[in-house]
Amino acid sequence: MVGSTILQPGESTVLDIPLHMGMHVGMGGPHEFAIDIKSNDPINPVKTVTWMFDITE
Amino acid sequence: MVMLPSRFLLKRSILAFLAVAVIAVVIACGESSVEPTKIPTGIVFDKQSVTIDGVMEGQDVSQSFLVMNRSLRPVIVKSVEVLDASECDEVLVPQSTFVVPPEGISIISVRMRGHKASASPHTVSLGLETMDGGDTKDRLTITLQQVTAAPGVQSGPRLGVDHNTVDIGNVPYNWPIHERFVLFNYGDQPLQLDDVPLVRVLEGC
Repeated sequence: MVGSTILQPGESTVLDIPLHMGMHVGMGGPHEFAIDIKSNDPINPVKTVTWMFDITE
Repeated sequence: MVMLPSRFLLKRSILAFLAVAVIAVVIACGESSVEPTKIPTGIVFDKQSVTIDGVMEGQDVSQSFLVMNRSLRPVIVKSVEVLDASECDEVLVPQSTFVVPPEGISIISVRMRGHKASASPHTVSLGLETMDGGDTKDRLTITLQQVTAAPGVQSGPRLGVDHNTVDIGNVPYNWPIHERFVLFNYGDQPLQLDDVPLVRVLEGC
């Protein structure tokens, strides 16, 4: 969820990503998610950040 | 002297034996009965160490930690202290004591300011003191891998993110986790963000 969708020059906002996965035995191991943030940035209209973790028993 | 009949003595022996046997069974059952319910205690975190990369020079970097109270009584987080932040100008942490309710979750937000492009990989360490019956101290660490030079104000709307990559290491099954990114506009025109970012699975699941 994004705090504010319009940022004036110099402004910032937060992107909060809560995650509670219904994992169970057999779904462990490395996980990597890509989060694509779209905007009207003409040079970089899709900014991708990555989130990694390792599910362990 | 009265002599008891032998049958009477035999019955008494049998009854005594049975009584002992019953008592022995009762004791055995008591020993193997259900153990008293163990009440879970204390605070756990969604992660205790995290590595982030793609930090931009001079930009604030945020990181959040979920604080989960697995016990049946409130836990007081007395203090969050910055133990080591040698490559940051400032690290902002919660300043006031707060309470995590029984089986509840709170978020600790950390904001790190003033990274220099010349900074080598470094770690910010936080110390937490909690009160749950007794005092407990925990340590959280944030490792910042690389600081890139700031691009300066660019023409048009330009989207920046405080960090590009985050690795929170080992996570148990069915564990809630939370991540926070700071988005900023380093251009000279208003930046319009799409409301709902798309999440893609690159590996796992």
